[in-house]
Amino acid sequence: MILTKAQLKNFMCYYDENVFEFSEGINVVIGDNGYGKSKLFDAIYWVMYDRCFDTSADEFKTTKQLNDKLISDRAVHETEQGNVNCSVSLTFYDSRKENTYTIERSLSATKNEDKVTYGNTSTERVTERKGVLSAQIIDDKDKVERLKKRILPDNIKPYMWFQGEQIDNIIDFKESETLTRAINVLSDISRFDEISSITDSLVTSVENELKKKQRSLSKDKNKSDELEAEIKKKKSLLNNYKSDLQQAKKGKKIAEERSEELLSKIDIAQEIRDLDSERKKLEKDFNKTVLELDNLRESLNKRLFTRGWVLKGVSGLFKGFEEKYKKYNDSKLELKRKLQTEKRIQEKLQTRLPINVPEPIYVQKMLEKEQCLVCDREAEKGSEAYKAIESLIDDSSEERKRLESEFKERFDFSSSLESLYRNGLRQEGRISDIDDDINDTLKRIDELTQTKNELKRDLDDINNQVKNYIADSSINVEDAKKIANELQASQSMTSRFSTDIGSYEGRIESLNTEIRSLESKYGKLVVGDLPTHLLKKVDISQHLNQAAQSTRNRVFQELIERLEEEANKHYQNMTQDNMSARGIIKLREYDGNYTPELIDNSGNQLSQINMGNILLIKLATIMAIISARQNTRDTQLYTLISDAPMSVFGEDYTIGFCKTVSQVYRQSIIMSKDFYKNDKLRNQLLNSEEINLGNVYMIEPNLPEEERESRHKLATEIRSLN
Amino acid sequence: MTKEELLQTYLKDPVFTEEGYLKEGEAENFDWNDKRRIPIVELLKNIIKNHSDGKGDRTIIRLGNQLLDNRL
Repeated sequence: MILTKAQLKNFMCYYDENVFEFSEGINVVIGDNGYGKSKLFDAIYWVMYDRCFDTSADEFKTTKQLNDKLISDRAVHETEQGNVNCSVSLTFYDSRKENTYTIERSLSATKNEDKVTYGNTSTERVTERKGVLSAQIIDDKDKVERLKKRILPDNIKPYMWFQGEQIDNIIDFKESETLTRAINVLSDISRFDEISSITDSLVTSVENELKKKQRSLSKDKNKSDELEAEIKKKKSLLNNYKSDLQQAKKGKKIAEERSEELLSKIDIAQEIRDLDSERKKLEKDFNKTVLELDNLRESLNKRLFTRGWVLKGVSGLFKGFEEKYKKYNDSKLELKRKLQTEKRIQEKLQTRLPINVPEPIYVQKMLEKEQCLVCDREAEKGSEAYKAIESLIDDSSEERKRLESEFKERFDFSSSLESLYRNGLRQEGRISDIDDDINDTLKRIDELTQTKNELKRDLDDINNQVKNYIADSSINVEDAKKIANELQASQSMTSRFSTDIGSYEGRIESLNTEIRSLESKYGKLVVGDLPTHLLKKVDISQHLNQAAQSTRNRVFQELIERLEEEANKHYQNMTQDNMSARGIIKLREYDGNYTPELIDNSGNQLSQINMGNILLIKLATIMAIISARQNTRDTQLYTLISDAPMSVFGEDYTIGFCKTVSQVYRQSIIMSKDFYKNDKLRNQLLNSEEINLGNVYMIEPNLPEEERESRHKLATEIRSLN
Repeated sequence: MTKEELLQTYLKDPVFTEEGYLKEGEAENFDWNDKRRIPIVELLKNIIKNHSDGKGDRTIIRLGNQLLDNRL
């Protein structure tokens, strides 16, 4: 069944009536981000399942949860009063029966002035048109469900209808069972599994019948019962051990996978750890350098005084001061000498008259009378005798002494000058070192600044290296530290599980021997012959069961080989435009489960595969499962619908992907932005003879980006490109 | 995969010739409507048919048992 038409009315950004028509081959809906591609996918999904995938929440949401988001804002805005309806209708064509089916889902809202009430439940309407007859509504809900299952069975849905974001989960490389599950779903192998299970049960049933007969012919029924109970007990124990063995194998496999994963990371983790420890050392050195530099810079002002830098350049001043001080001292000594001379003169004078004799008042009288009253001689004013009397007044004047003392106190700087001189002498040695000290300090600042810059550069380098390692390997520093311990733990778990497996296998073998022995004893209790037809029945059922199990394994093995071949064909086709992507897809078997991996020509697993390649391997594997069943009814029936499946792996793969998809699926509908801006790619799509092309549409919003914020005028324009 | 294809796939298993149910080379072109009524093949066809018809496992086993009882 193919999807021939999708009609959207007032659904999300699809305002008013919008129609997409699809045909066989690859149909492509082209649009940039936010132009409505995902909304088209949502519309199709909504019709079928009454829910949409909410990428922000990474889950499907129901109509009730999404109601206000489903109806076009513009439709609501432009409705003044009353009902606003949104609907999506899908038309499917069954070419085998020549029937046309239409499934329509609608939702309404009521607007009362500015208040909008959205409906919580949608309405579904399904019609069937047989050949050229008029369409009939299908009321029977079961029939509708059956129709939907025919369009797309639930178990196939994840592989046929998906969004780009979901591809990663379809086949999870960490879960080896997911590929096996996909193989089971998309291949016939489940039929073989089911038939194997039936033949297995048939054998049990026939063996029970035989046992029943054996018991009825037993010569010692009690013994037979005893043996049967014993056999039952042993078989129950055997089943327990088998189950434990499976668990241990599973545990071992998980531990081995984990070890393998960790082993592939251990080197890089070591690099990250080494880099981190180097980074820490550098960080420590850097902080130490910054601290020293800051302290040094802060101490520069203090050093003006603590290290005498304030005296820088004063050595000339000191010399000048020294000379002046010397002159001062010389003149002082000269003066002192004079004073001493005077003193000596005074002392001589004192030999004639004692100090303060005669008393100053008589001396004054003598000067007034111009006559010496001691010797009674005349002392005419201005004469030597007068001056001699006068000198007696000078020396004896208290006031003069006081003035002299005051003058000495107030104007004699000799002690200060001496102190300055002595200080100068003390500093003289340091002054000569100040320039060196300043130079040394500035040099240290330069050195530290340079060291700081170098350390910063090294630190940035190492931080970038760590960042790159982390980005490439997805291992952060904390993980890197844990990896070695975790690896040791995983390896020890692997070893423990191996021991358990050996032990369980031993016990199983021993129990099987015991059961066989008990069954033999049980058989020997039979008196007479067992019915031949019953023995034949046992033989036939056992042989058929043996054939069923081995056929299942053979078919599965052939399927795996075919899948590998197909997957590689698709992978090569998809990567043909990118020479850097190489490798061979190998489906690695472990304990009945398969995991796709990429190997080189020598069979070595390729590591460091990027996300795009991983997704291509997954897509190639899914396509292989589909194409391995090419021309079977199933693959003819289902349409691949995918939103942005190519978004992760880049433009080099886009055309290869389209070619492959158009060859594998009878019909596919792909939403893509890759062709939007890239005209060359778009032309290749439209003109390639290798692509079985259906309809190609370009969708664009009717408003430029700056006007799109208000969605009250938003609509989507659909343009057919072929 | 049709019932006939399924049958032929099973008959390719060596157990059918090893245990003497079929001769060498017989399995490849074995016809669904073969009239020889070989019990193990009849049983297999019975299981394939009933499984394809959507019958439950218990029913298929019961019918298989009955078939063997009738044939042997």
